[in-house]
Amino acid sequence: MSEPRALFDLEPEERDLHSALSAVPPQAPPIGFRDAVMRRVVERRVSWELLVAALLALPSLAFLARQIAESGGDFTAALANVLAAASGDTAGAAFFIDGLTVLAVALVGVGCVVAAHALIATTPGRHRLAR
Amino acid sequence: MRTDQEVVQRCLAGDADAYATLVERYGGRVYNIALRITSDPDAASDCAQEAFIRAYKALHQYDPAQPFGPWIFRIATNASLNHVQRWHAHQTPVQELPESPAPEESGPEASALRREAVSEVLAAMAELPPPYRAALALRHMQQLSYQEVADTLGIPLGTVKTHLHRARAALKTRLDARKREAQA
Repeated sequence: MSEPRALFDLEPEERDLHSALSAVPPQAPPIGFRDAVMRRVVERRVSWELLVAALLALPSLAFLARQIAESGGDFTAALANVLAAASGDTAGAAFFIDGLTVLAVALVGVGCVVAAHALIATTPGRHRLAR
Repeated sequence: MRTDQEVVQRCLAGDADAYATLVERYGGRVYNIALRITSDPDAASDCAQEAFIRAYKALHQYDPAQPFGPWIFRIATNASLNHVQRWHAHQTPVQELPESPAPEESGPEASALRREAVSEVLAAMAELPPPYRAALALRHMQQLSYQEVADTLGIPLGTVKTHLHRARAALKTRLDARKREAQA
């Protein structure tokens, strides 16, 4: 149905006007019409993805910031233990990390992936939009 | 070549780029419907873009058992009628002339007369109320059946026939008046 076709139910009293109006040549859409539509489609998708990324990452970042503010000493100690173990001074490293912190870090990671996808989608030259 | 339904499925699966195929396929007709309703090329471009964006947002509501054309035409018609309602653009006369006239059949003089006749018809059409313009554009310029016009405009078949009958009568009156003015 992308191209106009002849009418099968044309009534006799319509014929004159139909021949006049169907003789009006179609106007081409403005140059860049398709580009403009697709830009808006992509922008819409990007803004949606960025919103999802922000919803995932921001509460988690706030939680992590609060954790650092409240238990910064524990983090420093855990990091020192890990570094000491890695440099070979001690045989093992002991540290405690709660599940919520792991979840928050994971959500920040997912948020970053979604945001990166949205930004890649807006990269010029990705779409074949030439008209 | 993919069918419209296949392209819609791809879009729904997350391939937004596939939508460009539908914009390419229906962009011209959607723009022309908007142009005949708004009688303003800039407004028509805006309305056609708006129609495609609205359609993209509502793709999940599209019934693949139905053809895509009347669905997007309906959205475009509604967007254009809303625009006209907001801005009263129907008071602006049509200024554009066809960019690519039909092939010349009997020399440049006949072609000029033909262009003049076309612009007369378009100018008379631009004076009609927007719902009549929409019905005429869909029926005679986009070659839709009565039922398709009814589906596109979202009104009963009988109302479409009444709209078209009145639109034809109004258009004929205006064209006769213009002819008389030209002769005087």
